[in-house]
Amino acid sequence: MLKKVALLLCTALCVTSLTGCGGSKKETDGIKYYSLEEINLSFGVDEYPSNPMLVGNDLYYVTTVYPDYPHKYYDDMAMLDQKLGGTDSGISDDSNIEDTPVVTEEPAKDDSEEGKDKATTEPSDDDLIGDMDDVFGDDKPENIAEPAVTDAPEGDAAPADDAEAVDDAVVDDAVSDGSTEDNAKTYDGDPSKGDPGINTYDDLNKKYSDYKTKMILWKYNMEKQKSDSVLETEMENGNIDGMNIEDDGSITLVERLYEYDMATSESKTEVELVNYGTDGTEKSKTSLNDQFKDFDSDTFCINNVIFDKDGGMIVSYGEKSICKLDKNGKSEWDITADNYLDGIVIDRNSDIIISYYNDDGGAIFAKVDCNKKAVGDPIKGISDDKKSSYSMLSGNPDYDLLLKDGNSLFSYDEKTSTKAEMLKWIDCGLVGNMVDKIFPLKDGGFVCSYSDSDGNSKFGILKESENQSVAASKQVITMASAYVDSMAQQKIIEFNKKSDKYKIECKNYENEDDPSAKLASDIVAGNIPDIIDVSGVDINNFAAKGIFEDLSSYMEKDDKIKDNYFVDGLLDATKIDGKQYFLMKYFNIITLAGKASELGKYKDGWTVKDVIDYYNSKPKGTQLLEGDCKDNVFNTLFSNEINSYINWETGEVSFNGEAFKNMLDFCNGFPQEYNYDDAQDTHTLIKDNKLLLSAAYIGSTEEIQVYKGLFNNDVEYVGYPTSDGYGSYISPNMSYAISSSSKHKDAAWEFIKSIMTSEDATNDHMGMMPVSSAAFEEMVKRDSTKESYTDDLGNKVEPRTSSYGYGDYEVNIGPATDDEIQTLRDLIKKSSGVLINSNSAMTMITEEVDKFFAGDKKLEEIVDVLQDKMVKYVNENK
Amino acid sequence: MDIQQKKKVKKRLKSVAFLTPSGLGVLTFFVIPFFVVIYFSLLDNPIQKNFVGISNYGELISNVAFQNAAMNTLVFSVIAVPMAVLLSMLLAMLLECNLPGKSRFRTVFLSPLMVPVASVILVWQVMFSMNGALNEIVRFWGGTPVDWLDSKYNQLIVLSLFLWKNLGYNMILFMSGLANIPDDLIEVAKLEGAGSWKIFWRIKMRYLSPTIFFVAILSLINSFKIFREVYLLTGGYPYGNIYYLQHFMNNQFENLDYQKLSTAAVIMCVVMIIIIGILFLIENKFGKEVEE
Repeated sequence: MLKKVALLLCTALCVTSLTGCGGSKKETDGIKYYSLEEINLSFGVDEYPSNPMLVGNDLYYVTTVYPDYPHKYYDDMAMLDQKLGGTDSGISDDSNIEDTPVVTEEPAKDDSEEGKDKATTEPSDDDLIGDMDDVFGDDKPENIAEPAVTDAPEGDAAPADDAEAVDDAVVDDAVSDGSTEDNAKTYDGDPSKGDPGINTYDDLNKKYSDYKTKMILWKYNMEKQKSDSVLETEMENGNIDGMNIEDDGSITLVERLYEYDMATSESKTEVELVNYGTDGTEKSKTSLNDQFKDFDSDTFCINNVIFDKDGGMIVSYGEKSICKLDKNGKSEWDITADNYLDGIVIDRNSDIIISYYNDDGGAIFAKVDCNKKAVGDPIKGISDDKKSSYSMLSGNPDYDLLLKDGNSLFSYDEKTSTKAEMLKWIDCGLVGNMVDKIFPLKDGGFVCSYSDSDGNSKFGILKESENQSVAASKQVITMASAYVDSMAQQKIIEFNKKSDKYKIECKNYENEDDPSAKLASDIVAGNIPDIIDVSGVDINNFAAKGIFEDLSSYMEKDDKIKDNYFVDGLLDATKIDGKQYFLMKYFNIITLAGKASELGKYKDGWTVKDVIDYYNSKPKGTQLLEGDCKDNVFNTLFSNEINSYINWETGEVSFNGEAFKNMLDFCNGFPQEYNYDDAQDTHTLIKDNKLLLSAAYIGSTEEIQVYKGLFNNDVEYVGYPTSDGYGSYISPNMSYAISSSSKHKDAAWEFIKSIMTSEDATNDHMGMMPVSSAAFEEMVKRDSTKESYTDDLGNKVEPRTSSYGYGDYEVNIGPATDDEIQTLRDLIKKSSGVLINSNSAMTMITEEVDKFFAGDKKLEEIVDVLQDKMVKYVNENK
Repeated sequence: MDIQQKKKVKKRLKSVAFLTPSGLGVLTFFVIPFFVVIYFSLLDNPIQKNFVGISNYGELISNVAFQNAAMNTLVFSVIAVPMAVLLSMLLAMLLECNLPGKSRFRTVFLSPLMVPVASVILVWQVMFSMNGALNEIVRFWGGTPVDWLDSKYNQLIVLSLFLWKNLGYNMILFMSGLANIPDDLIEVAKLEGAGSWKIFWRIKMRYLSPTIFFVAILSLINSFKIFREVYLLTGGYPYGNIYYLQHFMNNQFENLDYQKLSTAAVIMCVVMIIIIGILFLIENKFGKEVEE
């Protein structure tokens, strides 16, 4: 009997092990295809709809309408800026990023706002980005979405309703300026026209106190497809942090109002619970300030407010605090989480779920135990990922929880502790990172709020595709990337829409500790993506292993993407062993700039010895580079020079030679760490001959002008020292290769081509230059024009006028001269290759060299060890 | 089919059923990967998968790094394996004598087996790093600190580590072998006037030969496995002669050069088969004598 049982068990084990792989339920089994139908609502450029909420068939949302100030206001503002020692609004410094309201363009009209012109004075994200550009020379983070700037229809301007309340003098001024005639254009303000009686920002605010910001609550009925204004409230400097619509249609808002005193830099916050009747009239108002533990009027902020079914509120505020308020606004409990809070929702079982960040930046989800007033254990199945990037979404009557990340929407089943992928954003035509809120509908679809490719806020309905099999039948092209940015996702969506036969799916490695290593292991395991985003990938190694397809043959066959499609000299710089393994959409140049009067003889390149001789010819205390320290100087001199110490043919290395020793000795003469406390700005250092070189990141003629200004018109781009040629390098962006084993090479090529040739390829992107020769010439034309013109896309191009500066230093950025354009062209042409990603050899060398710099080891010991290790490394790889 | 045959078939089916799970495991984790490795060693790269015959073997054998790694591995094994066998045998014999604190010694020698590798590495790093315990002593006596792990002494450190980790277990095996030698045989030899040396060579060594063979194979395998400790101590490219074949293979894995990795693995396997084959032959010869 026992034997029979054992036999049965063994058989069961065999069957299970044989069928286990295929028999288990996959996370993607329940995935469906949805099509996106945009809800036709029009918002102004600065009217970002917020607080979306679905109640039955009604979608509620809030828009903010900023007052339409007259030009006089901006004149006064500009004058006040000057008076208070700031710069005018065209010139930025750190102080006026927050303080100076910047005029943005006229918002597009909403039906309900007919006849009103709106211009914002709030410093929106866009303005801040713009200001930061001025400070940092366009070198802004890539993941900041650019809010759209939409021109209002010309000739649509009319005197604002609000202006009627303003004193006559102001209105007269505005009309006499003709300001209302061109309200649709940006107006920076003329300080000479400002009111001399205004001496403080308080004076300014008082004068224009009748101009109020309004919050409007809208109700969009999805059956009637009509939006009605439900509530309109004046709210100067405030937010609606939470909103609840009762069954009878009455409205409860949690409003946060703040005042900022520019003179004293002090702020005051007031949090109020306001109840409105169904007709929009205010019924009651309760201050909530005292309900929050350690309420600090200066720094208080609310992250999330959600309402439970009884009308009570769960509020997450500050960094780690959560509290429960009853429907009258009285605190029931207040607890503190272990780590920084992210989101908060109520699940299907009416439990409060919070998410907070773990040490790796991933999200941990946990229930709040209201009885114990404590945060519970991490929820299994979704808190396990070391670097998970899921965020919770509110509105989940059909699922325990809804979660989203940059790729997909998931449902979470508490019983089985598993999450199931419901849809991929790309399949729906949505960029995942741009999806804000999502609400399930009774018919299985969803309502979502999101931003489109231009940054405009939208609402849409995701409806299940009628024929799921057709949507699923497309052949899949996989694209591997360490990070698929919004622009790339948008291109994938466009490609997928156009192609009947193929669809691109992203394989995102952003949560991997080492994306490149994970990609490598996937490749060897046979999971080879068709398209590889080569940023962060050891391109040379991958190319040497035959992973990439040579794209030259595709370019030969193509009618558009040929050698002459690209900026002159660019392709040569990006070839590896004469083969074109990848193509990029944007690029910039990385080089070193110095004084032409001293370095002119090195304009075609210089060596490490030249750098050392040049530095030694200068007085003691002169800085070679900004942030002078041993590591920094070593990386600058060596990072692109490693191959000059290696003979890859013979396997010989010369790290124990005099050249390497001299370089290490030279670097060791610099401080261990740069003292930033005593640091002066770059311009002053250069002007006083205390700084010799500056690392230059060139993305347009604007940077050429900036460096001209920094070096007082005496600049030479000498490049990084190299024993072979000229040391300027291409830094690619949106660069893609095709796998040599791909079964869909032609389709993959079509995708890359679509990226290269899309309309936006004519624009520069995040301070980078387009690779297309025509787009480059268009950029040059735009940068150099001294007169307004309309480009081929119908956009009006104005002569470039901006400035770059900090402190007392300022460079005016104007139309590029022929010389500046030629300098840019020469830099591209002379560039000697693509910037090499740090590889294991470089890591090994840096580790050893650091021991010498730290004084732990002698020079001879270091070079002996390095020589030994590098011989092994080179012989392994030659 | 008569009843006897039916029983036989049933019995065989049962045996197969019981063996299948472990057979599948061996097949999945050992046999199939081994053939996959051979397959990869005959291709140009894992992407295009063009058959190139034995050209990878030719290239690998002429690769200086491989030659260096193979030579270092050979030298280490030649030194470490006999030392591990002899010293553990010596310790076993010492403990066989009626020494005071015998069981404590045994515990001390076995303790390295219980310590996890990560802890071992931590201790050895604390001892031999630039600011480690050994250099503190050197400094105390006015000497110049040495980066022991990046010096010519590192081979000695690795050898010590290997012996420290393996002597205890080997010693136990030898003690067990010594316990299996018939006492009456030794007593007879003593009565017939045989000295200790003669008893050791003529009786104990003959009886210990299977144990010596087993310990030698075990030590040989462990000598190859010392890479793990060396890698954790010094990384993928250690200084001097502690760069072993596994370093070479591991680095090839990281460099995506699966052809060199597979080819090196096949060559190493062949060499191991030859060495173990020779040991078998030797053991057979001595073992037969004992049996006779």
